[in-house]
Formats: sequence, structure tokens, C-alpha cells
Amino acid sequence: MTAEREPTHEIDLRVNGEDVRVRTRARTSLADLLRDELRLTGTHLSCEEGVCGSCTVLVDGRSARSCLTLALQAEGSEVVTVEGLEGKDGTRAALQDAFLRHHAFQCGFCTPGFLVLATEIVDEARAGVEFDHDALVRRLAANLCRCTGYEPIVAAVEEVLADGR
Amino acid sequence: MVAELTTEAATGVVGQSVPRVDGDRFVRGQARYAADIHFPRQVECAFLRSPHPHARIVAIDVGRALALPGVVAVLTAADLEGRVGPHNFLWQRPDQHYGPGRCLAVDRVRFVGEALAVAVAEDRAIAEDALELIEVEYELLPVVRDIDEALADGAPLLHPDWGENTVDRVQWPHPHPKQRPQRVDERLAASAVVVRDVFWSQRVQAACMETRGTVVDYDAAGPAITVHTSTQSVHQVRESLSLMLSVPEHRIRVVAPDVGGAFGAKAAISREEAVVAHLALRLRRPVRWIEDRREAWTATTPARGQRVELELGFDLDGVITALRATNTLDMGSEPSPVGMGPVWVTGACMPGPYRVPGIEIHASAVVTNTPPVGSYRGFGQPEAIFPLERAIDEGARMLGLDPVEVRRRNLVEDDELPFTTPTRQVLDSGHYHDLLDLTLDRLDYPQAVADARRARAAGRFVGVGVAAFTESTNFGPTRNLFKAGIVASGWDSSTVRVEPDGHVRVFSSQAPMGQGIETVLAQSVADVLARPLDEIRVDAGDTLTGPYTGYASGGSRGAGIAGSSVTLAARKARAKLTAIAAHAMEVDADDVELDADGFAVRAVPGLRIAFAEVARLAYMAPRLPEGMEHGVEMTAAYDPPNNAFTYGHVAVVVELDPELGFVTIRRMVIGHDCGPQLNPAIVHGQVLGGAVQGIGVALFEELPYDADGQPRVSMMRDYLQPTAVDRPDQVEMVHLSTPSPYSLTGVKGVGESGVIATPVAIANAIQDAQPEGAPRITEMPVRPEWILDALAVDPPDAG
Repeated sequence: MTAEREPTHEIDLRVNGEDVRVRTRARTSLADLLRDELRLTGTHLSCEEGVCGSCTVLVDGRSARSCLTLALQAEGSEVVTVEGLEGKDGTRAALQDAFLRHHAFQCGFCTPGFLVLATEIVDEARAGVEFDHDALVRRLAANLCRCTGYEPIVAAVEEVLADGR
Repeated sequence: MVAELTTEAATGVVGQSVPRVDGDRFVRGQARYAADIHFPRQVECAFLRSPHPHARIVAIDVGRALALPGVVAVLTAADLEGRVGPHNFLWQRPDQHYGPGRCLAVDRVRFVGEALAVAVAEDRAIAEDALELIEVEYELLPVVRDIDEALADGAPLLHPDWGENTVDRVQWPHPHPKQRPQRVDERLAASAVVVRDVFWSQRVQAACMETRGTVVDYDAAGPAITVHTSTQSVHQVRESLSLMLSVPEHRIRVVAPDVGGAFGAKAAISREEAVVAHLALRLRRPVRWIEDRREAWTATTPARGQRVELELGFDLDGVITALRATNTLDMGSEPSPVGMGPVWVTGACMPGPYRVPGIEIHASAVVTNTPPVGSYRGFGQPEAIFPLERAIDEGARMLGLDPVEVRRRNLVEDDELPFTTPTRQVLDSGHYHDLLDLTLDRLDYPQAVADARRARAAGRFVGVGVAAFTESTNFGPTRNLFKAGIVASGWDSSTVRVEPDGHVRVFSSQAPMGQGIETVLAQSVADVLARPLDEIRVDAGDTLTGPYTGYASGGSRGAGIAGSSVTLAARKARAKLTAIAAHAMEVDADDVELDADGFAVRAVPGLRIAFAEVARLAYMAPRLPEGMEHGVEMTAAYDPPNNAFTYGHVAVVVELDPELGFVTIRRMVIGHDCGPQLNPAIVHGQVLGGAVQGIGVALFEELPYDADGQPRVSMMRDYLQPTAVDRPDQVEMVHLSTPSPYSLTGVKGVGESGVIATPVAIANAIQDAQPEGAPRITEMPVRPEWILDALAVDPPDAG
């Protein structure tokens, strides 16, 4: 095959606490970089248009749709995916435990996005942002879940927020 | 008094709301869906899809696409000729028409999104680039957009060889010389009131968070393929591929990896599954196809799109006198593997949970230039319950009776169960009236009605709506399936293997797709073998390891039918281990019992042997009881004697926003009886998730087509579905647990409960919230603009 290859660019970033240097094409999304190059398949692609939130990751602490973020935009950033939520020793994060206890997932496809979004919410609450019930529900409306009816997801996040207080 | 009817948690772990046994991988991002699977030497493919709703394919030129660097192959229908047969059919009714069923369109495309070529390349991006280089010359044909156009005189024919656009027709009662005359004309003429309306259940889609995806691995020896595909039914896919590709079944392994939602949309063979499997055999290497969301809106089977012309008569007391219905399904361009199944089920479920003395039901399906309709949660049942429950409210209004009272006068009584409906469905068990009382008590119905009235008097738009439903579950015994025209068996088998160290491995061919089947099967085995849950592992969704099951996961059948087969297999394992334990302790097997500490001899305190020791003996003992084979790997099959009907009631309170036309659901109470609950948290989750999908059906979701026959949904943002803000804070539930006589464990299914009556309960509440004289709700979804128009109507007495 004598393919005319697209130009690639070398970028450095931190993913789940580890330094990573990768070559990527200009059109590669952050989601594709994570999934296909780094084999972090916990970040899921569902709509690929920024609506559903299944691909949510943290970029420098803020939630981002990794399907609409180009890999090149993450250069020099700290990226956290669902695989980075557990402790170094494999201990589940409080949110992961709460999702299990509350049956806050069924098929599990939206779960990584919700866990990452909820991590941002819990971080904000720790930094002093107040979340009453309605504010939490509105915030969780950023992502779609087709299975659970949302109630157990709200309950799981609410429990972790209450424990953190 | 009602509370005593509830059978609470059984002994042991069955009946406990244990967390999902497979849950850890989902919260750690370690679940593995089709798109996460890769193989060495893999190539990726992408499908070219028709941009036209109806056109003749004059010519296809793939030359430029093939020349693109990185492209491995580009195939059209001509390349599949003689190598990939038409998709086979799950539903095959005797007189139905069949479409071409071809995996890539031959000569003609009949819907926007129909695949007509496939490009295979080193990666997906190159495959998609190749699609842009395929040149197709189309000759546009007249478009049939809906049922009326399909049935019009001189309508263009989608399949000229049929001579009509109607696929099939069925009626109840089935014509039979011994059939009792229904006298429907006479009964309707003698009725005090007759509700006559035409109802429309819109086209929707399951819209699973995970699109479809198929990754096929290739083994040159054989050759053989392993098909990792996002499916509910591994054996169905294997059977279909074997027939379509002429490859014997022992060379095809089908694996359902983690499935990111299915809801029926992944229930039968898909065209793409066959093409990808063929490509792997043809190219002799692994091939991947992951559907993208844009193609999913037209390439994944939608559901519903059914018109019901209903006449429902009542006497002065609100007792139903007769029902006549003409049900027409817009089934899209040709029968999918489920054919006219959904409208058949609508017809069969039309009488709901009521006594209906005379019926006349005609059901048919017609073809239009839209995607073929497939399965979706509810499968024809919401389309029956929507018209029925709207008409009961309307009849009550015409008679000046309370709609709940009218339901009470028609609901089947306890002592009539099992009750055979006039459409030959057997409502097996339950307490229909008690559950209605329980539901309305929870809502405080009289108070809710009074509050709504007061609110309306004060200028607000508050309404109360109630609806009843039945759900056909444990679908179905093999003989019932064949009676309905389904060419698949309904029995399920499971294997329980007690390993030499005493840990237990369970094999099932059900496909986990979020419904929690591994958990409830583990719970069932745990109770029979008295083992802790963490000593049991369930492997499901793999034709290599799982014993045959005909239908697999669909029709709300996993817990009831697979739960029964796994219980039987576990009992066989227990019996064998008991015999080995008795032999080792030199006592009679009848004197040995199993508890959490192992096998003990009744009446001889202290004489016992650990479970793991007995398991070891089963494999290692030089001598077993006379005639017994070594090992403990027991398979059992279960074919239920009949379907089991779950049932329930939904009560909601809504408030309409007169400025924006938005609907706020203030309360929602669901009364529900699926028999003994293996895991109440899972039952709750199934009902709740279904109810929220039902909110979507009532208020938001729709797959409309424009005047040119183009789909108006091509992105997620075009298809409004409920988010966290679009539901009541809490869906309140009350349960009864009446066992079904038609499953081994009394368990009935739950998967579709929430979605059946929720939409119409909301519609009834919206109607109640509107002023007298407002137009009647006969279509879903009930959009904000419709509500605003309705609220603008002057009451007749004021006008």
C-alpha cells in the first residue's frame, strides 16, 4: 500500500496521573485517542455530537465531551477518565461504590460519563459550591441514560455529596 | 388486607436486593462492549446508505473507492449474490408477503438509510472516505410516506410482485366454524354510548446508548468465525448466519459482549451482522463494524407507527359491551425478521385486563418508504393499551361516571382467573382489583381529584390520569410461539457446573444487556446449592459455552424461563452431590440434607461433610455410587406451559404550563405484580426505567418524515428523550407478588411493564387537566404546541 499518510503531530499530556507522549492526526478526537491509541475503552462513544455525555472526561479538572475535543487540544493537559477514578490500589471511589449500592446503572454504557460528571460535581461541592436537589438534577441532565430512569443516579450522587459534608 | 397478599422475600438470597454481581466492571470502566474489541489483522467497514426514500439503482461504480489507498474491498449486492442469502424471519405467518430481505439493496432502495454497498479499509476513517467515492446513479421513484398513501387507489407499489402494499392480515376471533358469533354490530347498536376514535402511536426508536456493532474474528481452520455482536439472542444470530451464509452452525460461535442497551432493537438478526460475518470469511481476516449514531437513526429498526380505529361500547353502568378495532401497522419498506409481529400482539392484547363480551379485531401491516419496523420494549402492547385506556376515560366522561369506577366494573375478578380473553390470551393470576385499590390509596385518589379540581377552578391546569395494563411475559412456550407464527422455540436451557474445588459456574445463553440476568440467575443457584453469591459465576451470551436456547433475551422472559431452567439444573447438581455425600458417609441419600455448611445427616448430629469435599469427590473419588458418572455438570431445559401475564396500574398527576405547553408530572404511582421478585431492586429498576421511557413516548419522542420522505431525525439532538429533569422526583411503586401457575418458580417477567401504560396514564391526565370541550388526545407524543392549541379552545358552554 502506498498510502499518502496524513501528517501526525507529537503531543504530551497526562492521563490518569501518567505522562503520555503520542503521535496523533489533526482530525483525531480526544475520545479516539483515549480509546484507540491508549486503549482506555472505558470512555464510550454514543452520539459523537456532544449531546449524550457518554464520552465525558475531565480535562484539567473540568468535564469535557471527549468526542468534540480534538486530541491536539488536550496537549499539556491533565486528563482523567473513568479508569482513573479508583485508587492506585484498586479501591473503588465513593461514587463507584454508591453507583453499585443504588443500582445506578443497568447496561452501563452511560455510566463512565455519569461517574466522571459526578466526580466534577463532588469536587465542586468540596470547593464550596452548594448543590441543592434541584441544582443537582439540573446538572445531571447534561448526560443521557436510557435504562435507569435517572432516579438511582441522582440518589447515588446525592448520597456521596451528603457524606462529603 | 391487601398487604397480606404480598409474599415477601423467600429464604436465602432470592428475594434480596443484592447489588449486581457483575457490577464492578461497569463502574470501573472495564466493561467490554463490541466497539472495545480488536483483533490482529482486523479491518473496518462502513456502509453506503441510500439518500433517497425510493429509487431504482441504475448503476453503481466502486472503481474510485477501490483505488483509495488503504481500501481493502468494496462490495455491492452483486458481490453477495449466491453467497449471502436473504435474512431469515423469526415471524413467518402463513399468508404473509416477504420482501427481498437482502443485506445490500438489489436494484431498488426503499428507504433513506438502506445499505447498498460496504467499504472495507484499514481503519474506519478510510472506509468512510471510500464511501464518498462510490458513484451511484439513481432513478427516483414515487414515494409512499404513510399508511394512507400505501392504501390509496393506484398507490405506487413497493414490491410490484405482491400486487398490493399490504403485507398480511389477521383477525380475531379467528374464522372458525365453531366460533361463537360475537354480534358486535348488534352489541354496539344497543350500547348506551360508543366511543369512536382513531388513535396513532408514533414511530419511535429504542435509541440504545450503545449503537449496534459486530466484530468478527476469523479462524482459517474450518474455516470458522467468532461473531462478537451487540445482540440479545446469540443462538438466533447463529442460526440465521448459518442459513444466510450456508456455513454449518458448529463453525459459527456467537458471543454477546457487554451490550449497551437493547430494548428489543437487538433482538433478531440484522443485515449488517450477516455482511460483516461474510466479509470475515471472504477476506479471511477479522472485520469490525461499529454503527455510528447518524446511521443508527435509520439503519437500526424503529418501532410502532400504528393506527388503531377503535369502537368501544358501554352500557349505562359503564360495563363494556363490545370492542371493534382496525389496527394498521406502518411496517416500513418490507418485513423485518419480526414481520407483522407487533400488530399481531396489539390485536391479541386489545381487550387488556377487562371482560369484553364481543370483539371484532382486524390487524394488518402495510409497507411504506421508511425503515422496516422491528422490536422495541412493549412490542405492540402500548399500541393496544393507549387506545383502550383513552377510550375508557372517554366513555366514563360521556356517561358521567368516574373513570376509575368504570375500570372497576370491567376488570377481571380474582375468581375468574385464569381468564381466557376473547383473543385467546390466558390472564393467569393476580388480584387486579386489589392492586388498583392499593395504587389509588398510595396516590390518595379522591384527594388528588379534588385537588386537581380546585386547582383548575383557580385557573391552573392540573389533571389526574389512571391506566391499567397487562404485560405478556415469559414469552413463550414453544407451542404458543409457533401458533403466533414464530419460527423459534421458546424453551431455555442452562448448565450448572460445580467445579472440583466446590465453586460454581453457571452457563446461560441469555444475553446480559443491563437487565441484571447474571445476578438473578446467580441468586437462584445460590439458594438451591446453599452457596454464597461470591462462589458462583455466571457466564452468559455465548453459543460456545451456553446450552441452546431458542429465543434468548426478549419478551420479558429471562427471569421466568431461564430462572426456571437454571433452578432445575441446580437441583440436578444438588441431587447428584447429595448422592455422593450419602455414599461417602455410608447413609441413605434421603437422610442427607444440604445447608450452608455442607451436607449433613438428619438425626445424626455432627455427621456431615463439607460442600467442597463432596465436589472434590465427584471428580476424584476412586468409587462413586453404583452407575454414577464422574463430574458435576448438569444441564436442564424448561419450556413453560404458558405465557404469564404481569399486570398493573399507573396513576399520575400532571400540571400543564399554559405559557409554554410543557407538562410537569407531579406524581406517578405504579402498582405492579410480576409474581415473586428474585431481586426487588432490579424489578424496581426495570419498571422505573420503562416508565421514564414511557414519559418519552408520551411527550417527546418521534421519528417523523418530511414531505419528501426524508427522515427528520438524523442526530441525537433531533430525538428528544427524557433527561434527569423530565421525570417526577420519585416514581412511587406498590407491589403485589402473585405467583404464576405457569412458571416453575411463579416468577413473571418485568422488562416491559413500565412502558406499557405510563404513556396513556399521562395522556389521560393531560386530558383531565384541559378544559371541557378541549380536543381529545388521540396521538402521541402530546407536544407542547398541541397543548397550547388545546388550552386556547373555549369551553362549549362559554362559547
